[in-house]
Amino acid sequence: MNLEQILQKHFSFKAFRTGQKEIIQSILENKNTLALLPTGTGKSLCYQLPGYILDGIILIISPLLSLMQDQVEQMKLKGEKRVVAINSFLTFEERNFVLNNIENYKFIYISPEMLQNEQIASIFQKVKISLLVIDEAHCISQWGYDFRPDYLELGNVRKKLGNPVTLALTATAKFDVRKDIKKYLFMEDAKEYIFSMDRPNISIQVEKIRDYPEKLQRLIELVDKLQGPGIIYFSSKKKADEVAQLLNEKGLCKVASYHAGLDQEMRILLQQQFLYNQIDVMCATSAFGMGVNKENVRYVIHFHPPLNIESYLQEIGRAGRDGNESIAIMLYSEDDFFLQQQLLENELPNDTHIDVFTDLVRSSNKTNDFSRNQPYPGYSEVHWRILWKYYESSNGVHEFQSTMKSFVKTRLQIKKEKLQELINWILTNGCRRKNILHIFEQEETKRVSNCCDFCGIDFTRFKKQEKLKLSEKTWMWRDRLKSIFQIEELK
Amino acid sequence: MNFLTVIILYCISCFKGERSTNAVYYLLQGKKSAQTVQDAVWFSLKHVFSIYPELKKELFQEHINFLVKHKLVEINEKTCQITTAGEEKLSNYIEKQPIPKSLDGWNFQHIDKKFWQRLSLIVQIVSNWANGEGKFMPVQRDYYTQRWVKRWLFDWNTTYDKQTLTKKLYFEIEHLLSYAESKKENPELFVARLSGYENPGLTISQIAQQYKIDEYYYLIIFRNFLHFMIKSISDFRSDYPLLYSIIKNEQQEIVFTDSTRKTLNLLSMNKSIIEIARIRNLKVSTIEDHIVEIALMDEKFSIDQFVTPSMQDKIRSAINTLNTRKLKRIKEAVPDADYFAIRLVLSKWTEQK
Ligand SMILES: [Zn+2]
Repeated sequence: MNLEQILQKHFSFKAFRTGQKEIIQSILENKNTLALLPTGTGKSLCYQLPGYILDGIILIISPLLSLMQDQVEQMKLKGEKRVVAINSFLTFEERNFVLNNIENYKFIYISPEMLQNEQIASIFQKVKISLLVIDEAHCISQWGYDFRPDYLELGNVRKKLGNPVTLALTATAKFDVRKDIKKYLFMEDAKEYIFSMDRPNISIQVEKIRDYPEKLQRLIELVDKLQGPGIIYFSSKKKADEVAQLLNEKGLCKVASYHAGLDQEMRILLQQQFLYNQIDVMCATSAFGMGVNKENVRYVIHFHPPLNIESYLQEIGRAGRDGNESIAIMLYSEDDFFLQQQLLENELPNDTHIDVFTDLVRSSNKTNDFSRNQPYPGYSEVHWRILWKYYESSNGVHEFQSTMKSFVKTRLQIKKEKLQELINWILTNGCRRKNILHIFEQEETKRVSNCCDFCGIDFTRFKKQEKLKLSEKTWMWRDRLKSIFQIEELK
Repeated sequence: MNFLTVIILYCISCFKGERSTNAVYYLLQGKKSAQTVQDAVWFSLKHVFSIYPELKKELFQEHINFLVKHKLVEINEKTCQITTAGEEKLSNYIEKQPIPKSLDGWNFQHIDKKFWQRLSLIVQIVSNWANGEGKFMPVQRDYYTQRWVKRWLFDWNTTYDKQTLTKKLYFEIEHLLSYAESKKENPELFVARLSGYENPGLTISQIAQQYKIDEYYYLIIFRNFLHFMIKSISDFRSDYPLLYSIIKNEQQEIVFTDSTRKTLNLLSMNKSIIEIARIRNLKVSTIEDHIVEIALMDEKFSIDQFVTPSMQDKIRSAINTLNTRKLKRIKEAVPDADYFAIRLVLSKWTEQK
């Protein structure tokens, strides 16, 4: 079977998308590969397809638990049963079961911290790994927007596993990040397949808005005018909830809000409702998007600017996966910049957090309610996790306190620079697309019609075809139950 | 003020100023400590035991602060008391949104969530079968639930083919929900959450919005409906073979400490308290603690062998008159009762309605 036939058989696609085939061929030629595909264009296929050709295990290292779960469910959905995720969601017994039967699995997703477990690492040393995949490989670089200290260990992990053929997937094309990836993974020889980060079918519009009420006004107008389905991104759960409610009250279309504060069952329901067009517009935080395989999203609006240009690209990349024309609109006011700055500072624990934490650890005993699982008042869950992680890997409280502080200081500095990069992009005149690509040291590949607010966009192309009929279909329970069970009237 | 605030206020009212706010938190969250279990029984709050298991301490505290700020409750050193304004507010709210009558956290908290996870996944799978679709995104991601459901379907498939199983399950659910409706429970609020083939259910907040009730109230009503279903399924198990098989192996286990269990063993050999104390080389008061714990946890355990029925009546009427759970005050009213007897009577406390 040639690659296209395998693609048809296991993925029901007729043709590869940009870059996929080149990357797969490189892997099949046993070459270490560093790859970048534009967001939302099927990077997981690049390591899933070789799984149907190579005889060993495909081991995928991924930092995001929720993403991992989604990938596993998606693969199962396509009929692949030999897939599993080894992460902290598994109980001790489940994990042991999987590890004892490791040869029954073909695709294994694992989090970096799990691989640092000696027992687990030794099991992977004994099996044949045909391909090691490092997803989100940019997390290895301290210059990246999403540095994860865990990732620095992956080079050694790779060595221990006997240097299997490795595919590193990055979401940023920047040269120093790519250099870091190759350096820390000990794969300086890697072949690079860096495709354009541009998504030509997405028009880019940036609008300056005076103040908050005006912004709301503009949003309502856009939701009324634009052809859905659409996603609106917010920087806070609260705002996402509020605006969703407001839009619902306006009765323009069906709106819901989605964020990490919801439990898993609600998140799955909302994803499915969006997928089956029961919801037209999703008000969301950045938690929404991964794992949502909806092809026909027609617009993405940013109610608040994100924290860096990489996140922006990832978020707008959820539009137009079907290749059809779509639009990304960012609404910003000058207050936002200040707000984002604050948000950024709150992401990491500050010096006081670190000092108080240190005192707590010093004086901790069985009687006070100081627990690893429950953040102390005033700490976010993210703070708490970072603090514990660093604390546990340090030699003593004193060392922890100083290394933690200098780590936070450096990270904050880099994050501020990343935010500034985004702000500069927003404020700079000139073609939006060209400017983004310029940031990533890439050239524009071809002229795009309806390119951006600077080059000009024909808005009529994104207008709602017809007013939505809001069918408030309320089911009587018997009817709904019958429809679920496909029961015909028995009379 | 939402229904969580109301429930908190309700518990504070029931505690009659004799417990702290922490006691309310542990009760709603369902902490399995001797103290919380005792609070639930003594103050007739078994129905709300563990009805918000995911309640965060910080959120709870915000609600307490709100109640204090609006002078609906007063906090003294260790206890917390509802004010007259609080009582008034509470009765207004409860009149509009009564605590549903099938709610029984005490008996069903160990199974209600499991029952829902299993049933909702089974329904989704069966619905996809009915539409000839084998692949779909499961609404329940929990590994144990998925494995359990797979096994359940496999086992029943040996008796019925897919089509028959689908029909039988439909009729059981339809029958049960009709019965619920006849008992003034609302099946709409349950069925709206079920997912079927390409037809995901509504989320908690979507249903709450649609029915214009607050989310915390919906959560209670939903839990109440599950409790109603579970109870009816066990009461009329021969009518619901499929549904009953979802819950039948999930009896609530009564977990005693090792030491209490040893005491229980000796009791069942008809040993007296003093004998047990001697055999185990423990104080009599320790053995009495064990017996109180057993009386609390095991509804079927009779206290008649320790307190005569007439003494029980005397203590009970004193408790009713004084409207307190303070042992000392009860003892003053019934001088010939000992503390052990009073605690045993309280352990079997059910409010005369
Ligand atoms: Zn342009």
